[in-house]
Amino acid sequence: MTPVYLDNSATTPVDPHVLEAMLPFFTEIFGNASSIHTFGQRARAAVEEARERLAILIGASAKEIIFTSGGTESDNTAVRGVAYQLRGKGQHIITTRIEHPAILSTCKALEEEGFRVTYLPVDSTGLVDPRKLADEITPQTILITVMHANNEIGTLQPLAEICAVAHERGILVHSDCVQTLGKIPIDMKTFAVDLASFSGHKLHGPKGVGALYVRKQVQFKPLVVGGSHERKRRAGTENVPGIVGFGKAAELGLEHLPEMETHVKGLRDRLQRDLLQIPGTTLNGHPEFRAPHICNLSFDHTEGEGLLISLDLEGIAVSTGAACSSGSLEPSHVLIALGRDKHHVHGSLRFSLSRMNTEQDVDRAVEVLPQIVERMRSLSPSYSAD
Amino acid sequence: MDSEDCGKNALPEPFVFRRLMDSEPYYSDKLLDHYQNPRNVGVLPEADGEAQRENQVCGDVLQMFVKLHGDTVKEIRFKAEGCIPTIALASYATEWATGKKIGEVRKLSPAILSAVLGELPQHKLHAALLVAETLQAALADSADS
Repeated sequence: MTPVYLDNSATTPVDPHVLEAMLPFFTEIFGNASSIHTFGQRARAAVEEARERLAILIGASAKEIIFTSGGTESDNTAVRGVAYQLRGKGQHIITTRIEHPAILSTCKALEEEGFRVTYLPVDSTGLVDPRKLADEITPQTILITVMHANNEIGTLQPLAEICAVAHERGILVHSDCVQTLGKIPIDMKTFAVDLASFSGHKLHGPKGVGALYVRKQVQFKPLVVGGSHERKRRAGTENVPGIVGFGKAAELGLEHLPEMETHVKGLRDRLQRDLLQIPGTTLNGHPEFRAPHICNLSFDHTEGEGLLISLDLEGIAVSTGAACSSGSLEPSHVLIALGRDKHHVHGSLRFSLSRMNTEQDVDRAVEVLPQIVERMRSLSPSYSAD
Repeated sequence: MDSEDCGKNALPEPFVFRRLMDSEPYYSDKLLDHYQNPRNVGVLPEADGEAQRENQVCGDVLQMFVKLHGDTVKEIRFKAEGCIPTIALASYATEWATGKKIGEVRKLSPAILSAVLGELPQHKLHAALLVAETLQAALADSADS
């Protein structure tokens, strides 16, 4: 049984070229990138080349990129860093109810420190309304943080409109772009956000490395201090192999970007179309404004964890927003924010693809899942096939 | 074996322990067997007692039907819309209780169920609670009728 991996929003397999690029930095090129001898300078050159590659992928200047330990650190740095920098100007932050916990938990922590946070609702497809956002802005508002694509349902937010509303009033915008890097084109020359978070392992890079884009002249208080690394914006010896891997992944991400709208979206759309043929199945997320690799479906009268494990026993990996599977009893805050009732959330699955998936992967999921759904429904006290 | 006998390439004890822990499956084979091949699924139209309970937080729903013969449980059936341990423990409980005296079945507690197919993780204890409560409620219903 060939395993089928459809959980690429959780993490992606490392591209063999990425691994190959990283390996010398565990062995012969082991220097500390801050050292001025040759060992160190070889590592420094590799870090700067990686920075350049990521800058090219997002249409930024290399100086605007700070390497971090991942998306979560980037989110924490952006939100806390701007909040602390601008607290003298105001103490109000606007975000959404469907952000990643890295943002929501940071906002909750800031509330305990006296900041006020507005959590914007979304419509039934997961979209934020920029007019509602505008209504929430006050003279105290210092930051708006809205994710680019939601990690559970893939809905893409109208960031251009959000930035227009914010910038008219001189407010900074941060966006968690972890799910969109290498998936859809991002060009910081036209994409108006002031800060953006990225992660290496979501685009076939290694885990433990991410980046924060900070537009030139935007000031923030660093989260991690203790050295002059990353132009004094993130202290700590650089994770050279990780950064090199991220750089290679960014280079490959740019090369493969056109495949996202063709190969990956094509596979995703076929998977979605075929699975929607199962009666009592609905799409969670926006039908059109959505990252090309994500598809979240609810199967009435089923339970997500059971679906997930039954698929796993067939060698197919997906994820679920159902309660119980996440280590807590609470169902997905994202699906709840869409206004879905708990029974609908109960039977939800997220399928997320990458350029490494094949037609055969989709065939297999489409072949196996209907029987699993049917078997689970046959146990349900409330399901009737009629 | 003493850790010093492990040889210089062996991992230190805490790492060996950690690695073994990590390789433990999330659910036991016994539990997964009951989930994949649930016993006694269905309804009993002639039931002496029946009950339905729901976990208000996570949404799991369980229905149980019991048929008695004197003071013995003759048959039990269940239907469930719930997570893996809910289905597996309902299957286990119905299989275990069939043919047993009512007094004995009344002793089947959430604590017993939470360990009987392998220790449930903390956030899954609700499954043991739901199964025990529904079974006891169905028995209580049969006593009322």
